[in-house]
Formats: sequence, C-alpha cells, structure tokens
Amino acid sequence: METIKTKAYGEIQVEKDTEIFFKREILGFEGFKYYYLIEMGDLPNFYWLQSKEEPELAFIVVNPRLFKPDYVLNIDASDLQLLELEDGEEIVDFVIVNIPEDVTKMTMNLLGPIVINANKRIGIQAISLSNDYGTKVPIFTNLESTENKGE
Amino acid sequence: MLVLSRKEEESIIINDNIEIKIIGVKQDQVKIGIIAPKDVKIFRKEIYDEIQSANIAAASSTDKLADLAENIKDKLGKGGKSKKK
Repeated sequence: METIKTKAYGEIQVEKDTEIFFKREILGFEGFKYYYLIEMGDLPNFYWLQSKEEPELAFIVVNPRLFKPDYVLNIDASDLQLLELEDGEEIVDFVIVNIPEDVTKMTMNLLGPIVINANKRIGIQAISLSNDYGTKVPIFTNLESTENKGE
Repeated sequence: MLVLSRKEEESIIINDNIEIKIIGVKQDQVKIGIIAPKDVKIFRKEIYDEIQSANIAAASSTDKLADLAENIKDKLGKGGKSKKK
C-alpha cells in the first residue's frame, strides 16, 4: 500500500502502482498525467478521478449507462490505438460529472469520455464521434429541483 | 503560424497525405474540403474548446463536494431509484 493525497479525503491508502497513466491528458489539464480512480464510498457507482500530481485536482466520474442506458462509446480507432488494447484486455469508460449548487441539476459530459485500458492502466480523454452527445447532459431527468421544493 | 493565401479550388498538402482544399468563399464563410487518411481525426476546434471548458467547470465543481455527497445520496435514494437496475 502507499499513501496518496486526495482532494476529498485527505491522505488515504491505496494499492501500490494503481495509478492510471493518461497518455492523452484531460483537455485543459495538460501536464497532469497520472490519476487514481477512487470509489466514492458514500455514493455507489461514482468515482473520484484524483490527480496524483496535484491533490487539489480531482474529477467525479460515472458510468453514463447508469443514467443513459442506450449510451454508446463511439471513439476513433486511433484513440483505441493509444490505449494499446490487446486481445483479452478490457476497456472501462466513464464520463465526467459537473455538480452545480443545485445537485439535482448535475450534468455529465458525454462528448469527452474518459476511456481506460483496465489491464495496462492507460487512459485518455477521447472525443465522441456521436454528434448528438453534448457536454452538459442532465443526469437526473425525473427529479424536481431542490430550489423549488425547499426539501 | 504559417500563413498562406489560397484561392477557390486551390489546395494545401500537409505531410504528403492530407489535402486541404478551399471549396468556396462566400461573404464571411470559407468552405473547406479535407482529404485525409482514415486514421486522421478531424474535429472542429469548438469541440475541443467545449470539452475543455466543461472539464474546467467540472473540476472546480468538486470544491464543495464533501457535504454535497450526502445530499446526492439522498436524491439517489429517493427519486433516482428508478434509474438503477
């Protein structure tokens, strides 16, 4: 095990050598090449994508199919090449979540999916080839806003 | 930046295998044709900009997340349930 610094939980222990190398970095965050994928204990299916190099840099990611069952990962063959995918190796993909003040208005970015070769721990932010996928797709479509409801 | 002047129907060749051709010029719009190998990715730059600003917004949206996590869990527990299998 090794100790890492995280934005959400401070110092935590993770398995050694479990960081993911981002061969193509997250757009706008070039230079940050290593991330840990950390389960959000209190929120099933959501993960922190925590920068190894900058503790204050972290994204929340989720499997988009949880909220959009017909979601299809459609990326360029050259992106798959970057992931060095070989027979028997597995891809896992996520999308980045944006959490505004009103959490019922959470959105996910389907246009720039995070794609990871789970075996080699290589990641990229890809660009979806599906034209109808936007960067601000609402996650909850059947929830009222807390603003209106006042809990 | 390399700047070249081209007229309609004229082209630029990049790296021997990518041709960028000016198809037409109308008022403030230029129509460009691109012939490139299949493995060359071509996107409008706005796509990159859009993803980049979404990333930046998402990264800063995690600032106040510690207490929000509870709130979201609540939501999932209530209305979001039908979304799960």
